[in-house]
Amino acid sequence: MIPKKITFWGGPYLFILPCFVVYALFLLTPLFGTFAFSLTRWDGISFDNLRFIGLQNYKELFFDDPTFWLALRNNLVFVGGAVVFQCILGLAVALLLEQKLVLGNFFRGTYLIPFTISLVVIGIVFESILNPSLGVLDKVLTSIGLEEFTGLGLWLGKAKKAIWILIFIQAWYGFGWSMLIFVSRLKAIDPQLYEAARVDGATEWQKIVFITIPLLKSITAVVVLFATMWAMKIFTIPYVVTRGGPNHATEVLATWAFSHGLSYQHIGYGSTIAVVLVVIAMIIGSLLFRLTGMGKAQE
Amino acid sequence: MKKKGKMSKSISISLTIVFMLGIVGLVGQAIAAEQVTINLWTQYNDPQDRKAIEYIINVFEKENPEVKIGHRIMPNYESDQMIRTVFAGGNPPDISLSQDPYTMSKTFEAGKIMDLTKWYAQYGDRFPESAKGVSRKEGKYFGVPDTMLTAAHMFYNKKLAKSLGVTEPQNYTEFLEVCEKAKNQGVIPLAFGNKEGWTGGTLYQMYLFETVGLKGINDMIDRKDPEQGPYFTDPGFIRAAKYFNDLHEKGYLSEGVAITSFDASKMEYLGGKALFFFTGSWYSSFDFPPDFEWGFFRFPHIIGELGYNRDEGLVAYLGKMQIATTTSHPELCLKFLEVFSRPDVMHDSFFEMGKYLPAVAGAVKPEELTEFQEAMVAFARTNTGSCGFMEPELPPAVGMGQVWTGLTAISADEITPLEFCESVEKVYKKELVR
Repeated sequence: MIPKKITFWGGPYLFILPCFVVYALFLLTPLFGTFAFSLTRWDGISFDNLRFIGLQNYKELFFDDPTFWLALRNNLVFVGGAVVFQCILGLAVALLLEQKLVLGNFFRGTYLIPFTISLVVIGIVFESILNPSLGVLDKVLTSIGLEEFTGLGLWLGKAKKAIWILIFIQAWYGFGWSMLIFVSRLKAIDPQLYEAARVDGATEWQKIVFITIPLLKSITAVVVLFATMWAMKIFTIPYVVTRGGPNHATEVLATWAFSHGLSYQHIGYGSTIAVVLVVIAMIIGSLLFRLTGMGKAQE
Repeated sequence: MKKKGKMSKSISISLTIVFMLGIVGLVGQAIAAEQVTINLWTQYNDPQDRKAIEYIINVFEKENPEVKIGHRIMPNYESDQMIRTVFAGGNPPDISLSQDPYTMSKTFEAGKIMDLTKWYAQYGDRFPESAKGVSRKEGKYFGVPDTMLTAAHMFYNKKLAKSLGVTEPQNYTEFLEVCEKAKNQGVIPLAFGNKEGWTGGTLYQMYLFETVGLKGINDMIDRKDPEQGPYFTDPGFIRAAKYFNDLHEKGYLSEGVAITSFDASKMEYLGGKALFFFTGSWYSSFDFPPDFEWGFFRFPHIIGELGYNRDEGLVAYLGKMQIATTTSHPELCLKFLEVFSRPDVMHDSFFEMGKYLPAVAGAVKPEELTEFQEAMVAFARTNTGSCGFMEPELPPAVGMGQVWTGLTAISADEITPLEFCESVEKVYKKELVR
């Protein structure tokens, strides 16, 4: 029996309350705490040294820190890379695997494996593979007569190239997840639609363009949103593989916030970078929400 | 009837067993309640270091059966950050090992690390003055050093040197000549990876001993005023950066030096691919020691530089055990430090197992020293002046920040030595203003 009047304690709010308490305790409180720290100068050693400095950290960040802008640009490059490589590759592989391939299930599982491995491990493994002196990649390429392609690992030491290796690693790590999400939606498409199209004389390509892709629209938005958010908060791969170098060329906002907040004992300044990262991520997230029509009721 | 009796008998037995178990559990809990746990965080990651500290923990626990040491090993590169963070968070472990003198002396000033002056009055004569000096701040002691480290020697593969037809260089010019010969014969002259930056920091400091001398380095560490020198843009500091850059420009270092880690360069050397290897005295403690005959010589002095006629270098007692003032068991922590610094315990652990020279005087008899350790001791005794690692003495944003990042950038050909010095100076000035 549904009560006529929904009260605070008897209604849906009661059910939301436990989650909200956890959310407030572990997300909102640290978030507000970080914002509060961003208005201070503090070395993290003693609270006696904590000084309120207003928006000075923000001023320094926006007007006197070229590394911040470099890190922001790198984050956006990661976002682009994640959307282009991770999502498109995931979609392409998902479509291929739906063609009833031999060993299709095996490949489906195999492509997901990178996503289950710790990013730290992935970083270390790639670092070992790419090492110019001891890595296996160059040895394999040389042994099969592809010497002109050796030296890829040296890209990690070049400011303009290093980030592309990191984007590749990130895409390799994440495309299996995108594929899985696309596959789950593909499985839910009514086969009668394809059958009807076949009767009407549609080719395989037309089926993909006019049935599959339009029906993947909502799930694509989810995949793009997640890939974007992961790319915005990316930390482990640049930290493990290049430590943000050379000369900050692969620095991202999270590593820069970490360096200041924890390594350099600039708790206030590190918090400022973290706050800006959250705000930018929120803006991009909201834009994606609006542009893709996510959150709207299904007709 | 008989069946019922049997059943009640088994129920009684079961209940008795449950009761007994309960009693055992209660007694166990009572014993456990009496047992005290002391949290110890260290960065003894390498197998031999781990064995050494576990040996010490065992000695302590045997002597104090009511105490359990909860030992946590932190990852080496992140350990100092972890220690800083945990002290900032207000819940540090009872005892911790730090290699970050800059922050820890400030943490001590803030009253978060225990004053060990009384403890030193009782056990201080176990240490040489040089070890005590680095554990002291304005007459008060805040840490107990573990081992002595030096970075004053260059190591080489004797077999490879013989096959290349080269001998130990007597000065830097000769060293460069040998490097050229090795390079021309397809051998990496100097195995050197600078991905992490600290390796570059140590090598840069060796050049600084030559170009600005010990006083120049100490003045830089002690600098308080942003408008007063010495500056990183002073000629000696730039020259040292140029020497550092030259090695890489001439192709004497490992390929991809900026992305090669210390461990990878170590593997190049141990694998017989490189002639020289520059590192600190922990060379003798490697978990995989070289399986070839190796030699060592004093880091070559540069003709015409300040350091040529001097014998200044790096002698450090970097790792220090410290007690947090928040501990509930200060007496037990002090007791642990007593066991930790006992000469016989240090001998059996860090010397025997870790192949380190303990900071504790008299822990090792002279006849037990290897040839290299003898040279270390001789250098520590006879040098004309020494100091510890420069970067951890500087503010973290300068030393472990811009110095490391900048030297890696030099190795990657991304900045020039002058740009490196300017960037470090800029950050240092900013830090001094803060």
